Amino acid sequence: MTIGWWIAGVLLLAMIALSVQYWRLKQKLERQKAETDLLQERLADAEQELTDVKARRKKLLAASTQALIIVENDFTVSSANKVARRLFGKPEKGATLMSWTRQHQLQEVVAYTLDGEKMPPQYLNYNERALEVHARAIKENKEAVAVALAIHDVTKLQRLARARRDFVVNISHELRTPLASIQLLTDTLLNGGLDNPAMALDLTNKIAGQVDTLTQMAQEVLDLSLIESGKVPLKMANTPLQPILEAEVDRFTPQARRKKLTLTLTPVGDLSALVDDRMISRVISNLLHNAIKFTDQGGVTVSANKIKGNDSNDVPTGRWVKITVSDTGLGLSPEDLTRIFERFYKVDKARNCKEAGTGLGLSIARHIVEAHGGKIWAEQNNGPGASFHFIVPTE
Amino acid sequence: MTIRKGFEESLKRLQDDVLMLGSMVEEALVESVQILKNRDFDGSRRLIAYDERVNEKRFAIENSTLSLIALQQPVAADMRTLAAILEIATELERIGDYAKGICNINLMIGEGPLLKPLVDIPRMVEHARDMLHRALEAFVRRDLDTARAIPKEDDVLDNLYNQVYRELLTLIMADPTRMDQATLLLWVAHNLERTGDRIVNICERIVFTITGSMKEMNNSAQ
Repeated sequence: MTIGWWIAGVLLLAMIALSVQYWRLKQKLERQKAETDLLQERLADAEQELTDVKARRKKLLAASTQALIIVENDFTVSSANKVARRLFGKPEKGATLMSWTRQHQLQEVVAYTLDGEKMPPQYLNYNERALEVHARAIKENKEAVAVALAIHDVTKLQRLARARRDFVVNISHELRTPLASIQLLTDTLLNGGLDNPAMALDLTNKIAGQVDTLTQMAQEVLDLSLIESGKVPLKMANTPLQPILEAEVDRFTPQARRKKLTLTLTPVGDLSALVDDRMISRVISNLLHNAIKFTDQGGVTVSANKIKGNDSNDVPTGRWVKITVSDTGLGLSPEDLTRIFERFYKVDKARNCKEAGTGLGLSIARHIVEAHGGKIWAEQNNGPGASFHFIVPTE
Repeated sequence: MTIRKGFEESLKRLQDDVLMLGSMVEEALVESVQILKNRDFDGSRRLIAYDERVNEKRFAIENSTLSLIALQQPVAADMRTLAAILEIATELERIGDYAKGICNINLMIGEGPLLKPLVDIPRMVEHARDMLHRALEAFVRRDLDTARAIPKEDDVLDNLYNQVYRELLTLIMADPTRMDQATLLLWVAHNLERTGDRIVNICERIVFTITGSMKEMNNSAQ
């Protein structure tokens, strides 16, 4: 009996011990589960954050106007934004920088940067573009593991810089010529020319002529800066074109006659357009001035007609008047056709050296036409010479 | 990394080096004609010095290729690829020498304008550059069709060369005092014509690498 009680007691104790053990384990399990839940929550947060960072990085790369490329230390390309893909095409998976871009300068820049050298911006020419390359090492534990390349397309900037340099050379040359004449003429006046009234009058007239040239040059430079900054308000009104064209053609007739050229206006009837007459006269005058300057044989024709814009003729939709100044002169090269309306741009210097000018006339014309909502362009004629067209709105 | 993977990585690096040498030579070639056109003597001297870097790159490629052959003892297509790399690097280096030659000619012509504006010579260099660019692309991509098509385009260079030759001959006949410069300009065209032949050699190597059979693709290439 006593043994029975003993056994029952031991069993009871064992059961109590097991229950305590079970309760402890359950507690531990619950604690661990809570910890796991917390960890999973943190992991989810971290993953979300990573996704956000990746999305932001992608947006940042896509929004950049520079080509951005990340090159790993084995020279494989791990990231290239839209601009970079537009420049060099889409890289294949696992492509190396060299097999993708075929530009040895980029490979050299990356190799030097991985070696820890700080590179100044590098310049390279690629497909007739000027590129400026910046490189930075991406480091982990002070070791370069990749290189970030930022590439700017500086073609336009370089062109502008070159055009500005040309402009300074041109304008100094153009200024020097009338200034030298004025100096000579005044010297002659001071050294006895004043004693002869007829000669004095002639010399003074010549000085006035040279002053006019200088004034026109200064005016062009000033006009362009005003027009570009939008400080010239346009007074648009429905204006008949025949009188404007006639006045300009009359003004240039003596100049054309001196070069033995014909200058013809095809009558435009009652054609009218929504323009600022003073400004449009300026455009026509600039085009006529150029046409006569670059034509040695034949002549210049001015015409105008109504034109309706649609997708096929490259004219914006709407009703327009197209004015054309056509010459039989030297014509234009394909490069000239695309660049002739740029500021300071002058066609082939070899043919141009004898001709005075700032290289601003056509740029001024373009700004005026665009301020009217129109468009100006040039094309090579089928025969000799070139034609300049511009469109202005009509009612 | 397995031995095979290691070999493939090294091969990839070597091919990148060949592309790099190709890009250096392409640039030198185009620039040499531009320099001649602009009568730029400083440019000539700079490019002549640059040829040293082209040579160094060629020797670096040769060393790496020989080390790889010695260490990995490749066979069949792998061996053919490495042999092709040795050959292509040599051909590229020779094209680099042609560019240097054109710069030397620019210096030899000296001050003063050229006999005539350069029209066909710039066309030749543009065509040669394009052929070379595509040939190296075909090498990396193992593109048999392109490698077989490019040698046919060598005729364009040969025709342009003949045109330059006839034109210069006419100029010499009209005024023998122009003989000196005309001969030098003819050498420029000759260098570009030879460049085309070198590119044909490169294409033959590519075809050999892919197919294992060596075949002459253009008689004038030799």
